Amino acid sequence: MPTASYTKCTAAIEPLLENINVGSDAWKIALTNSSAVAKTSFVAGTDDLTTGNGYTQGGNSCTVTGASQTGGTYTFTLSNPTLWTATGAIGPFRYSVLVDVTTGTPVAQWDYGSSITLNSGDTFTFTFNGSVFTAS
Amino acid sequence: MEISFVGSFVGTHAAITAQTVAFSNLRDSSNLQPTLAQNDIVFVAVENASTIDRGVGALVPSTYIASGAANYQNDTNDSNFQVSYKVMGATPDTTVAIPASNATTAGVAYAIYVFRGVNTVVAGNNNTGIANAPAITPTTAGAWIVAFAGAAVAAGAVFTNPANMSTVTNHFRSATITTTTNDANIGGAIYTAWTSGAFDPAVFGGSTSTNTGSWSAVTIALKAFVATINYTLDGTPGTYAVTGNTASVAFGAKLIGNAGSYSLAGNTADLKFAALLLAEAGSYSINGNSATLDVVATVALQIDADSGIYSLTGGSADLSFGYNVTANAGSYGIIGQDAILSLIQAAPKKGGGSSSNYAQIGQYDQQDLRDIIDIVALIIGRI
Repeated sequence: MPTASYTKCTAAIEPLLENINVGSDAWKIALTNSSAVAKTSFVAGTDDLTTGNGYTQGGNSCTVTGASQTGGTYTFTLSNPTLWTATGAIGPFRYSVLVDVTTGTPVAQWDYGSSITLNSGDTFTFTFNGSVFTAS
Repeated sequence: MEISFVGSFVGTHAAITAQTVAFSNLRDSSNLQPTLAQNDIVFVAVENASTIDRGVGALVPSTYIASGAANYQNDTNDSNFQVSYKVMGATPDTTVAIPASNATTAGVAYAIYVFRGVNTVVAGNNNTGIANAPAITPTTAGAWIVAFAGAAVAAGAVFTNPANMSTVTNHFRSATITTTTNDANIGGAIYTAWTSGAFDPAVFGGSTSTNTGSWSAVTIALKAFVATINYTLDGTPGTYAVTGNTASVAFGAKLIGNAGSYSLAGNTADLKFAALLLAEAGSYSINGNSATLDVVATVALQIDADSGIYSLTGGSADLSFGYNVTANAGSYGIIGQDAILSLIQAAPKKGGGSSSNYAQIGQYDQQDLRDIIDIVALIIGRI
């Protein structure tokens, strides 16, 4: 299984500290072929793939499963988004972007390494390897 | 995966029981016996030349799926035609049971075709009552087209390959049974060069054109099997760290913290005159240098302290004339050197009874003192 590192959307640190409520906001994983690292906002269908062939613009939802601190370290965990099953071509896309839907903020992304296109019957599964992020 | 031809076989019978046909009879395009593999798709086309309508399902081999409805053409020699298919499992079948005829006078002819790399979904089929298999428009690149034809005639005669179909060995197959009253013809042909648009198989040649016969044909587009890919991405966690610079707590600023352990380091501070050090109840340690309490002109210096024990050290002091030591009610101890009570100023002689002539303590000379002693002794003697 390919593994990708958490890459912060640079500007997200400010809303993370001033606006986003990590534990109660709605979150999604969206697929896009453009890096979101430098983006400050996220618009479904513009900043990710458009709806079609098994993909819904905006991405798939993730439920907050943990948002608390222990010993001075805050740990944030989400459930994995449901996998995408292509009924036609989906993509190309390269990045899985973590989006705070409540504020429309792209927070982080994971890079597949190259663009891929799902053909009919193909699936794409994104899995959080443990927590989403920690802060201390 | 591209579609490939695995093998084919044709045969006939006129039995009223199903006839088992071994797949070892199959031959590939090199005329060799092929080995079936998982997911190979086997087509079986059956023609039963009869005098009745065999009805739905009669010509579908057990465990096979009918590809379209049964085709029945009513004439002197009735054509009952059915194409069925089955996808081979992990252990491919080794035989197929060709359905029985309804009578020993009704011939059965069958064709078996096996393909590899075919999607399990048959893209389309079409039925007609003529031997000219209908046109079809595949929708998937790499599709192959297969045409089957069956005929019921009085005198069997094999089909010949449609003109525009593949001529590769065993791509076209035909068989006929001529020993029955209703003879059956069967034919199968393949087209592998389709790229786009509609494709119309040419008319099956051969057979007979007698008007007592009847025909059926089916055209099937085989969609190439495309292996699906299950992509995965494992996202590792991120980290955020909040750090700050060293902070100075300035005069007048507050530092409020919740319960916990905090360490606050700073420079040594001097507690200067007129500055206050205010603290809530708790335990504090203040270290400082020794302080000197000096007299500064006529300014009164005060040391205010709450109850407790304080130690104030300093140099020796002379209590001079004109200076007061003033203390509020309480207990104080002043420790100093022995003092000599000396005459500083002459006191006026005692006389009269006026209160204004009374001497003050510390203003008597030695004669006065002797007079006083004498008076005291006289009083004591009288007592």
